[in-house]
Amino acid sequence: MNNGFASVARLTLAVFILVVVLAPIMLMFATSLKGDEQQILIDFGTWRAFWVSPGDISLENYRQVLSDVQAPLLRFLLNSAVITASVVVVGIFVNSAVAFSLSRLEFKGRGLLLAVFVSLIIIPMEALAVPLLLMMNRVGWLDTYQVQIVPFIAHPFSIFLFYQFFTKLPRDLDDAAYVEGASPWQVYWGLALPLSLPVIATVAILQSLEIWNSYLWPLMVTRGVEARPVSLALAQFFGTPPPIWGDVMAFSVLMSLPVLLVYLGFQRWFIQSAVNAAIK
Amino acid sequence: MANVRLTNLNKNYGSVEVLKNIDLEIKSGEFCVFVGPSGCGKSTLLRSIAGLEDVTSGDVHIGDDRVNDMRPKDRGISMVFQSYALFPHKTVYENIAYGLRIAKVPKKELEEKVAEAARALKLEPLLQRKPANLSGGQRQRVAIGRSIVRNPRVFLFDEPLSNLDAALRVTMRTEIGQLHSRLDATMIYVTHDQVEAMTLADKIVVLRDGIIEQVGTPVDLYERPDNTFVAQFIGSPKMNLFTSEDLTEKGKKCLPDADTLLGMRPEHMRVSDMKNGLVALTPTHSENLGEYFLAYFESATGEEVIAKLYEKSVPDADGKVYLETIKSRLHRFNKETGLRVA
Repeated sequence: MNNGFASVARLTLAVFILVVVLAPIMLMFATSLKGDEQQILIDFGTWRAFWVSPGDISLENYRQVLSDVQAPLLRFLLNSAVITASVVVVGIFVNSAVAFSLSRLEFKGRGLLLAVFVSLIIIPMEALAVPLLLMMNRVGWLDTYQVQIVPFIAHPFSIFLFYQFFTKLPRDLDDAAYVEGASPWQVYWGLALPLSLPVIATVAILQSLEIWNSYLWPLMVTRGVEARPVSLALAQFFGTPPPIWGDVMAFSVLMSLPVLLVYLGFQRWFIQSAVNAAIK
Repeated sequence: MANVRLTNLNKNYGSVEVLKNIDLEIKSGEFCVFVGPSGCGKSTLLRSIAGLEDVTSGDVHIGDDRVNDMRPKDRGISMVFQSYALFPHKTVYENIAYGLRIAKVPKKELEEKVAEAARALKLEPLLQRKPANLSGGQRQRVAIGRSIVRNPRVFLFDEPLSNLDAALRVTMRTEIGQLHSRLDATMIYVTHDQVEAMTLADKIVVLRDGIIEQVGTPVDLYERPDNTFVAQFIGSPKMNLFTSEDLTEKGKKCLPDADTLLGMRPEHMRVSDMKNGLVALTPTHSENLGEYFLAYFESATGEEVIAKLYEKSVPDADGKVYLETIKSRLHRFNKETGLRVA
């Protein structure tokens, strides 16, 4: 009896959480597919805001958003994709290499260096933004891709995740490889990196979310559309009164889709990594 | 194939001395086994030969080369690890070929060498599998395959069988012995299992606390242990040591003086009587192992004594069991130093 009640309570709670999490996403999708702006405003006060009848589905909002010359969405998406992919891909190699050195190579000051990296995790981006802006301005990088890529490649939390993983890799693997003739680089590239796929997935997801959704830094360093990411464009789009909700939501959907695809692509590894972290 | 020479080798971790003044010569083609209890330094010694540990002082020679400053890959060695250390993301084929690929061996030669090793170790049907899909014995064979494929000068084995179950250990032990006969290579093998040491070795090196206690053939170590540590480490159950207080009048005559211990191996002891027995013991319990009994006793000084008997011992009227052994099977050691008395 008690077990039955507990199961029902758990299920109810799970459904409630699911609804709370999914509601804004459903609102976004449903609104983006409604062509009549008046109807959208009427629906907002009712449950119909979360639903669109199959007969009313229209891609008009998407067409408008994609053809807007003032705010070229595809360009913004491309900018965000280039910036995010660059930070994530280069970041994975750089951060894993740093972590490998810290966990596997013997050199003076290794412990201190690790302590510094770990302590850097707690320093928020906002605290570094102004001095970083001055530096970037000095080197003439404002309004470029690199100003949004280079400062974010080294990522202390990613280094920490890789470090944690590498310290758990059996030393015998390295030793076997060294006996077989491998160099430290070959051990990193040929063994440590391929074996760290779950961490790579975790880092890829966390960093892509962080970069794709970043707002403050792009706002400080970009002016025109050439290097402006989609997160900033959405704010700009939304901030122009009066908001056209159908377009805003279509824009939001298009902005969310790439991140969702990345997550779905890495989901298996991400969950495996999270589970491993939980049980070890 | 090469000889290995260690001269005055020392290894410290901070203030802890792990290896102390090790001098050892392993001849070309010899199967040398390092044995000793946990923490005696046997694995550290092996890793120092491999180049995975830097030595604090002393020299390591492989063939004519002083290899102290050489990296593992330049020493001409290969190593099989206790954990197998197979690369989990690579197939059996790629694991075996790993060293050859790094050495940039031409493709045709690489394929031939891998095929040859796979054939010799019966791994041909498994070449495309990943290590996770292999049994313990198969994994160990892959690790051996990876080590033989490069034709090293010296093979190093670090407790390669200790992760296997008892039956598989016997099979693999035989295979390693056959491998040595076939390759006629210099092999250095670390184990804490004295059966492996006795059955495989041409030469056994017994270590304790970073010091070599004795070097010799298995028969030497068994029949003429240099000291009480080796005497009790080699042989199972361990050798019984008796002080003069434990011995009968006849037993005391076997000792030159009261400062000498008398050693008897459990398998050499047999039931005797009050008149002929060398020791009088109080029986405690026995284990029937089918073929023989392991009989447990307590000596006059309260030490546990084990004898391997083929008949059940019956106590005499005084409640004691009298045991003896033939003269040539008696061992004598100095009570203070533990060293063998000639």
